[in-house]
Amino acid sequence: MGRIRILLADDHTMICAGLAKLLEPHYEVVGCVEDGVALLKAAGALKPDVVLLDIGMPLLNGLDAARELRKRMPYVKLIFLTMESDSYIAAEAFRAGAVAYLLKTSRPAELLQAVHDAVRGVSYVTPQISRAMEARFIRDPRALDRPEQLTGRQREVLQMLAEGRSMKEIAYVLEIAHRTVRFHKYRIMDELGITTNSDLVKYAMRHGMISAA
Amino acid sequence: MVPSSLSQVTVGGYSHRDNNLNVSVQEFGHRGIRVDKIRVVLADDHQEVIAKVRGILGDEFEVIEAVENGRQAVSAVLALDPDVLVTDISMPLLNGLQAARNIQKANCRAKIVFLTIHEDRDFIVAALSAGALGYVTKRRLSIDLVYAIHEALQGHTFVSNSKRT
Repeated sequence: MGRIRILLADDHTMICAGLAKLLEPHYEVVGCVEDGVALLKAAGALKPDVVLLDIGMPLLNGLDAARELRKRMPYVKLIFLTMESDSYIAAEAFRAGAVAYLLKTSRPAELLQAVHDAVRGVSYVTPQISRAMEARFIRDPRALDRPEQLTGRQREVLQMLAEGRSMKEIAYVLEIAHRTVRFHKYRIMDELGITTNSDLVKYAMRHGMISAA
Repeated sequence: MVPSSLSQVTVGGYSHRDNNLNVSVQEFGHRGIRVDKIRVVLADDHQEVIAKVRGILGDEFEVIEAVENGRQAVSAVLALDPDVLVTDISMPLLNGLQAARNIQKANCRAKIVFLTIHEDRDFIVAALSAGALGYVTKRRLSIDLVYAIHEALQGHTFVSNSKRT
């Protein structure tokens, strides 16, 4: 059997060059493209075994390119290598058909491990992301029993907090006591395991309660 | 890559397949010599779910064991060497994620497919981190499970769509 053939997709030329150098002793790097449209075209022509791709790319982003690739070439193993450390994005990548998810801050050895695993049909998630998941669900099984279920009122309070409104203002809008707002706020933080205001904002943003813009 | 000898396949019984070759039952299919069913272990603490899954898995599957907690799931996989473990996440004694991690650490060749009510994306990442290839939500059970198992046997991931998309 020939060597595993890998196609790279990243709009940063230097990164592509670095990746090629890292992979070439073990695998055959068949090409490097700089946007999602070029990726679809090159993948069709070169028929790689593995595609290593970024998410943020011009013309067509990596997630949409992955969805399309999966339809056209379901046997290709998709490995994401990106700066997006949010587990929300990682989940979308898996939903788009990824078998591995790495960060650009991951160790080079992880890339070789991920390719090795991918061609054997084993998933790989960088420890930079999987460790947090492990801490939450595997080492603390009780986390499963307290799903992130906020009540309607808690969600209202959270949204307004994330919008930057003061507790006094929220109390006025919801026609409840100031101390009730404070009570809700601490219950929300407790429920979500969050300790800072900025994490509250992040949570609200991730769950579409406020927009990032 | 094909197995060195097809005599590895035994009629009516189970034959060991080299994990590195990643040879699944399907790959024998086109030769018309598929002789064994896909062997499945089910893990869920709700009997109704087990019954429903049994109903959905057709003739090509054989449920060789159904267990009701994570600890039993790990024991069953280690003892029976199934092709696939279909497991819930929230279960007594050891949750499904912990079970998957233990199975992954033991280097079992069984592919793992989660079947869960959790739609939260963090659970998806946790499941894939724990070594699963499939993630099926119970809402999509009848549509997605069989497909997810086939994908897993080929070494591909599959994650059910959320209701939001």
